[in-house]
Amino acid sequence: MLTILKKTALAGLALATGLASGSAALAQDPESYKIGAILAMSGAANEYGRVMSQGINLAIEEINAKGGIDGIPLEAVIEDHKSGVAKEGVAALNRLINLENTQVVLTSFSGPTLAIAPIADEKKVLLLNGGGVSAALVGASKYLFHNRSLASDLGLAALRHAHGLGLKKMSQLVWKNDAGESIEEVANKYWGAMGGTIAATEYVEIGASNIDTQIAKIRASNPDFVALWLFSPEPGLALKRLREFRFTKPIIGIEFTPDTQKAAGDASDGFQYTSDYFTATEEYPWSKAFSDAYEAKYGEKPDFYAANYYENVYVAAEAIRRAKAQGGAYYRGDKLADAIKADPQFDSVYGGKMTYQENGVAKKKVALFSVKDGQAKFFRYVSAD
Amino acid sequence: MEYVMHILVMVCMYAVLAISFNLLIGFAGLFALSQAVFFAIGAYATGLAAVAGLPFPMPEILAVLIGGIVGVLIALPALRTRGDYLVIVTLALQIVVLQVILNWKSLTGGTEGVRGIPGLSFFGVALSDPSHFLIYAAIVTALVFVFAWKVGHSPFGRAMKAMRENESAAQAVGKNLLYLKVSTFAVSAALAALAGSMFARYYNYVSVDSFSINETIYILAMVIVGGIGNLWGSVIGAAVLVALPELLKFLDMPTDIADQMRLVIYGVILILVLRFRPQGILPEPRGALHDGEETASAGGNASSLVVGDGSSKGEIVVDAKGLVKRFGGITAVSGFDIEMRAGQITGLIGPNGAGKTTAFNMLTGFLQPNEGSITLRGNSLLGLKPHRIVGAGVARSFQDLRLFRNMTVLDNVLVSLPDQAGDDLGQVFLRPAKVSRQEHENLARAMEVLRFVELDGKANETVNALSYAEEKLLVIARLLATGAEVMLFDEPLSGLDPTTLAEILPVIRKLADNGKVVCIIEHNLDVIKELSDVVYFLDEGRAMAVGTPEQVMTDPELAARYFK
Repeated sequence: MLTILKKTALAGLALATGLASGSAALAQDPESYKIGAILAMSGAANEYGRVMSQGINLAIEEINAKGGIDGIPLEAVIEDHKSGVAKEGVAALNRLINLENTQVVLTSFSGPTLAIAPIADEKKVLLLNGGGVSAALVGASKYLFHNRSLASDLGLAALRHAHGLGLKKMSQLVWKNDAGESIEEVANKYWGAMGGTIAATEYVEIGASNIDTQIAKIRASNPDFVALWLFSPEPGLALKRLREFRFTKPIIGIEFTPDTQKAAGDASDGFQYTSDYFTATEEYPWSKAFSDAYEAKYGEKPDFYAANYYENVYVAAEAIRRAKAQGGAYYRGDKLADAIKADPQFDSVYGGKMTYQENGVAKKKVALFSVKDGQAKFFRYVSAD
Repeated sequence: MEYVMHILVMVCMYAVLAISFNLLIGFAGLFALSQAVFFAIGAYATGLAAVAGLPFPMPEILAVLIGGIVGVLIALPALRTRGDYLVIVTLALQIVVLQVILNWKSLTGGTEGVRGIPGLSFFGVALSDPSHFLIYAAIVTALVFVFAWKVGHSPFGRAMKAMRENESAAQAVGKNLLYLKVSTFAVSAALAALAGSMFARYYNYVSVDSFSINETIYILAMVIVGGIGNLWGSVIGAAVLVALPELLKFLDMPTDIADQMRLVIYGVILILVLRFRPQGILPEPRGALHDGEETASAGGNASSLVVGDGSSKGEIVVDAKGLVKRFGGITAVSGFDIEMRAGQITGLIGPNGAGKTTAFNMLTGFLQPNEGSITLRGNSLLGLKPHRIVGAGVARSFQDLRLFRNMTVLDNVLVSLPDQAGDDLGQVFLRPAKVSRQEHENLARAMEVLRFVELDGKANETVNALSYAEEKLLVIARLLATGAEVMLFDEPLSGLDPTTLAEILPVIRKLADNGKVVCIIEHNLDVIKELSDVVYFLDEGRAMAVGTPEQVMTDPELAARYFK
C-alpha cells in the first residue's frame, strides 16, 4: 500500500508541476500515436469494456509488431466511463486530451459519447464509436464515425424478418436506455405500417437480475412472437425466463454474444437475431486471422464488440497513415477525420470493405442468425432499408 | 493544464453539493438520501430553460427556485419520519424522481437526456473551456460557502443543531420544527440545484445516469470524510474525493482490472480514513464561545429570565381541568385537575405509571388530551404546538435530560433564549445588524443564566464533558433561558447525592421566590417536603389527594399505597 501511496503522491506532483504537453506546439511526428479509449471498464456493464479493450490491445500489438506506422508505435490509453456515466466520459476525454495528447479516441455507450461530442468538436479530436447504438449519436460531432450499425437499423431489419415470416402480433421487451428506446421508437412507427400490432411493451433495466414481472405480462399478452430490444447479457435472461414461463413461439432479437448464451443455456435454441456480422470465415482471411489470434491470446472467441474495436484501431491507423502522406501538421483529429471523409472506404475485419456514409455511419450488411445448440448459425443477410 | 482546471471545476461543483448536504445532515441531522435528486432537478431545469432560450441568469434562478420548492415538498414526509425511516422514504424518492425524469420523454428527452445546452459567456468571453469556467465555478462556490456559513453560524443554524441533537428538546425550548425542517430542506435543495445548474452549463449535456443513488452516496462520503457539521470539511472532503480517483489513474495496472482495482483502492483508503479519523478530516467546530470579556454591563441581564411575570403571589396561573388521556384501551390520565400558582412550587408525586409525565406532556403540548381544558391566565393552551406553548410561557424539562450533547454548555443556553430574530432565516439575511446586536446581547444573557446556576466556568465545554450534577444544572439553566413563567421539572433531582442536592434545591426555591410558577415531579419525598408548597398525589391517572406535603404524606390510605 505504501508503494501505491508513494506512486500516487508522485503522480500528484507530476500533475501539479505541469502538464504542458497539451498546449505545446505539436511535433510533426509524435513519439507514439496514443489511441485513447473510453470504455465501460467498471460498473454494471464492464463486460463490454473487457472485450472492447481486448480487441484494441490485440490490434495495437499486431500493428506495432509490423513496425507501427512508419516506425512510430501505437499506444493504447484506456479510460473508464463507469458503464455509461456521461460526466466520467468527459473527465476521461479531458485526461486523454491534456495528459496524453490523444488525437483519436475510441468511444462507447451513447451517454458518454453524446457528452464528449461537443468537446471533441472544439478540441478537434477524432471519435470512433464501435458500441453506442443510439440514433441520437448520428451527427453529434463532425469528427464522430461509427463502425457499428445503429440499434434502430438492427431493429428494423429484425422487424422485416418477422414480417417475412408472416408474424403479426408482437410483444416487445425494451432495454431501458437510449439504445433500447431508439429501437422501440422505430418499432412503434414501422411495425403498424407493416400490418402488425403491438400487444405489450415492457422495459428491462440494464443489469437487471429479475424480470419475471415483465415476462409474465409479455406471456399474458399472447403474442405471435416476442421481440427482444435488449443488448448483452440481458437477452440471455429474457430467453431463459420466457422459455421457463413456457412461451413457445418465436423470439427475435438484435444481439447474441457468448455472454448471452451463458445466461440463456438451452433456452437460446431457435432464437433468431439480426446483428453486425462477425463470424470468421475462410473466405475472408483477415477475419479468420483475427479470430484465431484473439482466441489464442484471450482463450475465448471474439464477439463483434471485440471485432469493432479491433477494426477501429486499424481505421485509426489507416487514417493516420493517409494524413501523414499528406504531410504538414497531420497528427490532429480534424486532419484524421478529413482523411476518412476524403476516402471513406476501409478494409473491414468482417470481410471486404466498409464505407462510411455522409452521416458518419459505416454501411455494413446486417446479418440474420439463428441459434442452434448454443451456436449462432448465419442465415442470410437482411436489409434495414 | 486544462485537465487540472477540469478537476478544480469538479471540486467546486462537489463542494457546493457537499456543503448543501452538510447543512441537511450535518447541521440539521436530517438524514435524507436524495441529494442527487436536487442536483438533477437543477441540471435539468437549467438545461431545459437555457435550451428554450432564456438568458443567463434566468435558468439558474429557475433551477434554484424549483429545487427549493421540491425541497419543501420533500420536507413534508420528513416532518413525520426520522432516522431509518427518513432514509428509506428519501431513497424511494430518489428512485421515483429518476424514473419520472427517465419516462417523461417529451420534457426531459428520456434516456437521451438534454443536449446542446448553451454554455455561459460573459463580456464576450465564452466559458467553454475548464480554465474559464473555473472562474465562474469558484465565484459560485465562494458565494455558496458564505451563504451556508451565515446559515450555519446564525441562531437558525444553532436551532438546526439543537433539532439534530434532540427534536423534542428543541421543541421544548421553543423551536418550531416545522419551520426548521422545511427551510433547511429548501435551502439545501436550492444549493444542490445550483450545483446542478453548474453541471448543465459545464457539460452542455444532462442525462439521468449522472444523478443516480451512487451520486448521493458519493456526496455523502464527501460530507463524512470532510467532517460532519463543518463547512470547510465539506470543501476538503470534495477536494479529496474528486482528486483521489484522478491520482489513482496514475497507478499502472493491467488494463482489464485497472479501473476495478482503482475503485477497490479508493474504497480501502476511505475506510482507513474513517477508521482512524471517524469524525472526519475536520471535526465540528464548537459553536459560540465565551471569550470571558463581556460582563453584565454589555447588555446581559438574566434577571428578567429569573423573575416571574409579576403576578401576585398565590394567583392561579395555570389551570387544568378534567384532563383525560387514553392510549388505545389504556387510560393513562383520567380526570386530572391541577392548579399552579405564582410564587409556589407544586409537587407531583405518585408511583411509576401514575400518569405524572403524561400530565406534563399534555400541559406542554407534546400530547393532546382526549378531554379536559388547560388554560394559562384564562387563555386555552389546547391544540397549541409545544413551541407555541413555550412562547406563551410554559416550559418543561425531561426526566432523561435530553441536553444537546454535542453542543457547548453556552450554546445549550443560547439556543433556548426566547424571541431570537435570528431564528428566522429571512431576518438573518435581511436584517443582519439586528440579528448581530441581539446575538451579542443574548451571549451576555446566556452567561448570566449560567452564572445563576454556577456553570459559567464550563460555558465552552460540550455537554459530554459535564458531570451528571452539572448536566442537571444545565437542564435548569436551559429551562430558565426560555424565559417561561411556568416551569415544569420532570425529576430534576433524581440520582443526585446530598451535597449536590443542597446546591440545586436553593436554585429552584429561588425561582419560585422570584415569582415563577414551578411544578416538579419527584420521587424523593425529602425534596418534596422541603420544596413544595402544594403536593398532588397521582395514582391511576388522577389526583388521589391534594394538600401540603405534610397533609398528603400523613394520609393513611396514600401511605399504604406509596409511602410504605
